Amino acid sequence: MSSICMLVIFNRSGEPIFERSYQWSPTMRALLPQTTPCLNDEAVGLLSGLVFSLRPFVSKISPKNSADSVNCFTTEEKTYHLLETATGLKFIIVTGPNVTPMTNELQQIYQLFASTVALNPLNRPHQASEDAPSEGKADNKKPNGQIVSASFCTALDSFLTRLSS
Amino acid sequence: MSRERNLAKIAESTFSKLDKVHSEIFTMTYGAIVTTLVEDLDNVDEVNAQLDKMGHNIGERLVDELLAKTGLNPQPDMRYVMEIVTRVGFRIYLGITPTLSNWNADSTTVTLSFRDSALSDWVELPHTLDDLSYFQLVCGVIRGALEMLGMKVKCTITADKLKGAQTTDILVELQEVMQAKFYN
Amino acid sequence: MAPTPLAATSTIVLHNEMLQYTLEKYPDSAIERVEQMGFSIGLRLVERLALASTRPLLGKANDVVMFICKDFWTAAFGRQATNLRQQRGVFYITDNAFPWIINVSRGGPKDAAESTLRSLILSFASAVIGGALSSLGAVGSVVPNAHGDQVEFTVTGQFMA
Repeated sequence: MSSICMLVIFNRSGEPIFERSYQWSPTMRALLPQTTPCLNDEAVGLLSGLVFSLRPFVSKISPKNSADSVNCFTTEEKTYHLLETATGLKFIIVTGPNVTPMTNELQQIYQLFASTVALNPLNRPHQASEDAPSEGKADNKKPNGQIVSASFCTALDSFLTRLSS
Repeated sequence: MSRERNLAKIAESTFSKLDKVHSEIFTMTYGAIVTTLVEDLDNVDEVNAQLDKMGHNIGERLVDELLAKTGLNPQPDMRYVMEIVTRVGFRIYLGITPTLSNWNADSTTVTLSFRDSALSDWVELPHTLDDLSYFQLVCGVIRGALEMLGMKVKCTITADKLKGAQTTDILVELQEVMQAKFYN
Repeated sequence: MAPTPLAATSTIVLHNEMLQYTLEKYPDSAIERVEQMGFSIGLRLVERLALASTRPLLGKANDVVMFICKDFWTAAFGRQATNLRQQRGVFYITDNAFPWIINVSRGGPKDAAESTLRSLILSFASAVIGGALSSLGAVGSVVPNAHGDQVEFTVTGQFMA
């Protein structure tokens, strides 16, 4: 679990609304947030497209009325753990290889999200960028639902550190 | 176990883990909001519209907490979603379990009814506010919640307990199952 | 008549909608408006609690403040206050993680919208507490002092006894 390198959250339209990269610090015995992203913007965009097509794909190939879903996929270097909520949010943790699916942990992160972001009047994660004019500069490509929450980051960091130790 | 009993069990178990307040604070807060809006806005239609908008924001926010805490992850199936909204959502957040009745053949419309609610305990509307939809907030909440779950619905109050009816009835009509569009 | 319990979050989300509406529409008089609303909410909430209570609610200062810290705090905020201190007739009620402001965060202390909203929430909460005290025969002021999510409310006033 100390191979957790990133958490990304996409909204219903696949726009990234939250990204946080990490690196394990053996000296501090903590998972420390990093400013250098684990996946660059282009990779995040491609990840979004991939994940966006997973739910319709699974529902096409599954027997009718089953609630099947992809909970993780791996490459040689990395594992991508996914939770897609009924509200269209996609939570993805990127870890090293050979990590068992972190579905329970993702559900707990969703709970942290629900109390610190969904109930936070200063954040509106489900607001798509077409709904309202973007605040700030004209070239600001960030969706209006961008999550900025000190309490979410704090809670998330401690949770992921506890998982890693 | 039937789906209804399962949801009721989930509701009780989730409810027991949450911090709880007395319904009176909800009632009082809502009463203060309605009073202020009536004083501020020029006509009752504007008040109803504002209550609906607030309700929509509230429904939008509460759904994620509901899903996160219960672990439920419903497909956009109107029947199941409305059962979750009434048996779990309303139970936890408004302290009432409305009944669902008069489903149409293809499960796209239903009437939600309730008698008592934390919103309207002890409330009496003066006759000058005959056109005020005291429960408009609830319509907004249903609309907001269902929209987050992928369904655009229209809510109409067809009977109002504060206006003399036996129960408050809300007609919920599915207009569209939303298709998520990729942003790029 | 036993009061119905509800999840605390629906009330919080409800009053946040009201607070934001007030801030948007009346940026210059938002505090006064929410204080008025809060006072009346607290006053009427305690009237109802008193009706449901089996204990007589006395006017003695210590009893009143205890009621506020336990029964009232639970009814309004979902849990009891963390700590109560008294010094020269002034009461200090502390809540280590005041439910109405935890998670109201964005960019931190330099985020003006965040600070404004947090202050407004605390003004509103103080008025609710003030209304509650008034219903119990106390007249005075409630002033909030926040360090992050820990809030200390200073209660000064005249009690009936």
